[in-house]
Amino acid sequence: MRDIAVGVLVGLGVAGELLCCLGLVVMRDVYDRLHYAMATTTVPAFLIGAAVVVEEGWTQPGINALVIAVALFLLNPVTAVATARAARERRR
Amino acid sequence: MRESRVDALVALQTAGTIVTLVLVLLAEGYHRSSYMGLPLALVFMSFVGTLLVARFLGKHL
Repeated sequence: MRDIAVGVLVGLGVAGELLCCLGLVVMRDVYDRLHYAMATTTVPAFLIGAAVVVEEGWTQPGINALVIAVALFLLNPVTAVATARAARERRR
Repeated sequence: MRESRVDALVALQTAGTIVTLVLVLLAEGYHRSSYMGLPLALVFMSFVGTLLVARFLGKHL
C-alpha cells in the first residue's frame, strides 16, 4: 500500500515537472516562460517531498526533503521577481 | 531558435529546481540519506547564483 502511494506521488510529481518543461518550451514570451518555471517549485516539488516522507516517515531524510520543498517554494519567487525585473530593464 | 539571455536565465532557474528534485529522488532511491544535504545546499546556491545573474543582466549586459 505504501509503495503504491509513493509511486503515485512520485509519478504525479514527475508528470507535473514534465508539464512545466513543456510549457517552458511552448511559450514564446519570457514572462509566460517564467510562469511555468515557477510552477515547477510549487505542487510537483511538494509531491516529491511528500513521497519521501511517506517512504521514510518523519526521519532525517523525510524532513530534509520537506525542508527542500519549502525552501524551493519560498526562495524561487524572489528570483522570479529579479528575473522579471531584469527582463523589463532589458526591454526598455 | 536562438533565444535571449533572460530566457536562458529562466532555463537556468528551471534546471536548478529540477536537478535539486532529481538529487532528492536519487538519494532516496539509492538509500543514501547522508546525500540529502546536497540538494539542500543546491537550493541555496542556485538561489544566490540566479539572483546575481539576474542583477548583472539587468544592469550591465
